[in-house]
Amino acid sequence: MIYKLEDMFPMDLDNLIEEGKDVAVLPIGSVEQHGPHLLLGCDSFITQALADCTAEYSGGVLFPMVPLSWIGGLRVWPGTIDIRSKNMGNYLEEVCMNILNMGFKKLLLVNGHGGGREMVYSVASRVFKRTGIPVLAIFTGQVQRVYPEIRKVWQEYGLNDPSSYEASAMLGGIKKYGKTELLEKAKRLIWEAVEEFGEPNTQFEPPSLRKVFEISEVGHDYLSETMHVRPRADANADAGLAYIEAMAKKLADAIRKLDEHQRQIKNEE
Amino acid sequence: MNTVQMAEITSRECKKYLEEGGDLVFVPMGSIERLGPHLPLASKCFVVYAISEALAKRNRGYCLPVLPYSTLYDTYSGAGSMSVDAKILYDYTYDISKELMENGFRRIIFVSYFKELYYVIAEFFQEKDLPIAWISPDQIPFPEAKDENTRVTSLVAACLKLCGREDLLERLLAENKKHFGKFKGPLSERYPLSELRKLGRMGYHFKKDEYEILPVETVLVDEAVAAINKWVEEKVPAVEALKEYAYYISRARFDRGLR
Repeated sequence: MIYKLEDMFPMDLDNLIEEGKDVAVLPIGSVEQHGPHLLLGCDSFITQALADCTAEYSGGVLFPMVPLSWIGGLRVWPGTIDIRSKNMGNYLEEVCMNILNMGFKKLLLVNGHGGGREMVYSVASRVFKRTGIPVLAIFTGQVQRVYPEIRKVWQEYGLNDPSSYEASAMLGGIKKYGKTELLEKAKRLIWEAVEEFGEPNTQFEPPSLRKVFEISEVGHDYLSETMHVRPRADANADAGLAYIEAMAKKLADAIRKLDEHQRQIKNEE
Repeated sequence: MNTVQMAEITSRECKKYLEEGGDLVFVPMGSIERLGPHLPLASKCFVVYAISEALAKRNRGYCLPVLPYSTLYDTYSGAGSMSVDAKILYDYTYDISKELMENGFRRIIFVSYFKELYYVIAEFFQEKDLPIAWISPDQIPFPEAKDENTRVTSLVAACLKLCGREDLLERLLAENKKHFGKFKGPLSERYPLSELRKLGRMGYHFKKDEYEILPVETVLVDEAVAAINKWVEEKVPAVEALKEYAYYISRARFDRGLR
């Protein structure tokens, strides 16, 4: 079955809608600095693969990724493209409304970029207020907190550092699409960065910022090159892909719960 | 590996490119749109991707990822068409331009069908003094095509080939054959609407089973690939001239003491 909208012809979509398929999955990516070694599209590679697997497992339709988001403190680094949250939110809301207007009744927004989390959550609320259709917006970091079993994948591969997780997930996302040449390049860049920086355990940030963080989120820039993601030699594409697949299974299950929730609401009304 | 995709390089690689005098970036904006019964819904995404990539490779630039959702015109109401409000897309594209400029890119070229870009680039120039450019894929000449249906269908087919999507190209050719002669031309071409629209623009939306682009007798895939490649080659001096023009603007403002 064709489940990617970008591969569909008009009649494919007509048939899906006629069959009553009503699950849509929309990945949200970013272009931003990810340390000296990871690709600018790191989050996009992860969310694309995650949304793809989720759509496949849930029998949903995968919509093309919204590739640029609000970034925040990383915009000081070259290659980062920061869209103001208001503009990003309005754009994303329009895309969601289009999806629901097509007849889809269950929409999952897959976001892997921490900085854009609140904005994506906000869009889910706004769309619900306009349509009465619950949209589920997820952030990958939060999903693995809710389902600690997903993190067991990392343990199985001997990984125990968030920077290793992010690099692995990016490699896994690239591997899923068989981009061998890009995968080799990405691995090489990681090894080169480990040679240059070693594997620092701490991230540089001003002590005053750490103190302020105890009471509040506050405007800040990422001041050192490795403050966002540190080089780690143990990054592993197989682990990353296993992590993506494990999380996608949970998200497919969440879509089933969303269906149940909608039925409950309908009955109550 | 020589990629031109910004998503596939690191921040350091981007910095190095800019430090070595690189300043060129293409912004492909496609659409999800019900164009024809024989064309993929993402046809324009493939077109802007292929053209941006060809231009970036030829002119030593980079491409942003394709922005897949845009403002649609007559096709907006069809199932599978996704239209973003023009004023929202205006703000979004303005932000992209601003970010690219602040990164140090001086030649920013949109590849898009979004007509309101006219104002984005004009007002961006007024506010930032940077002349950004906009290429609409409709301007690629293809004299071998005897009508608009053949031109668009062949262009989409050629871009699928350039994107390495032979699977979708094969499907397009099969769907074209299957649907050829089964649909009538757009109602928008009938009198009096056709006469009114000659005067300017007037809103219209396609009805069920009405398509902007119809299947054709022959899809000229290789001819369209050759036309794209020729056009990309011919545009090298224009892409180069954008650099000189941006410099001229900055000097002219300075020399005349303008703000």
